[in-house]
Amino acid sequence: MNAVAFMHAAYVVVWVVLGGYLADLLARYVKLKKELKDLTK
Amino acid sequence: MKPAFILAAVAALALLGFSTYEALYVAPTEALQGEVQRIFYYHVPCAWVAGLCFFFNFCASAWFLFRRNQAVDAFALASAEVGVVFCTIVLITGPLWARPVWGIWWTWDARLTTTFVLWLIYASYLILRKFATGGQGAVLGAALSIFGFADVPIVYFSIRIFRTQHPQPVIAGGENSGLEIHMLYAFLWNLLAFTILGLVIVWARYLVQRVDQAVEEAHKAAALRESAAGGAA
Repeated sequence: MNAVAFMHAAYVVVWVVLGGYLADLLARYVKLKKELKDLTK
Repeated sequence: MKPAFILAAVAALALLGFSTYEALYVAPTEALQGEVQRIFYYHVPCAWVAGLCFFFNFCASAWFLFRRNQAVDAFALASAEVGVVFCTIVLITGPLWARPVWGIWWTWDARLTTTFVLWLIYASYLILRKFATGGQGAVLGAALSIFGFADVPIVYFSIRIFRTQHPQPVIAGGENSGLEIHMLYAFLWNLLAFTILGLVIVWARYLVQRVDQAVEEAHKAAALRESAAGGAA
């Protein structure tokens, strides 16, 4: 693997980790909101 | 969703687009390392955001121990979790930079080791918060994070105090440090963009935690109602 590939890999990793975390946060938010709505009915 | 949150998120994304362009296309190629040095423009701002988040966690944890405020606890947990995410990025992008430049993925020098220990401390904080029972997780976590924060200045000063494989400081590192002006602009744009992104993510995580706390309260209220109904019957 040449040096440019390492640079691209690093940039991809940043966005994969952040994107994955944000997707997980959104899923947690939607699930909790639904649970709260069910509990306060 | 609050308009201010959406505005901050859009600003962060716009800034990130611009700062990534600056890092990849505007900043000149470093003479010795070549293109791979551009990892610097993401690696260092992510380390800064992780440190900032752990500082927020430290302040919120200290405040929580005195006031026992649920909103402050939510902020402490949110900042620790986001700090761990950014610290994880630092620990992945670092070896990806090290391999072509040093010829090795990892070495147990002072900077790398203390950063890894920092990640372990806050990962253990998150595990404690998730699995502690009896409602003591917030208090124990706050105590742990106050002591855990002691590693942050150790990480920062490790390259100033010890001889390390990790490079000596480029910013505020004394006489022979500094960046070429276009490199400095690209770095500062990325620092600003990642700082705003980090704050937006902490904000988002805080909102999730507040809903989580509301769910927990609703569960307690439901249990009390059932208990009262059972007692009346």
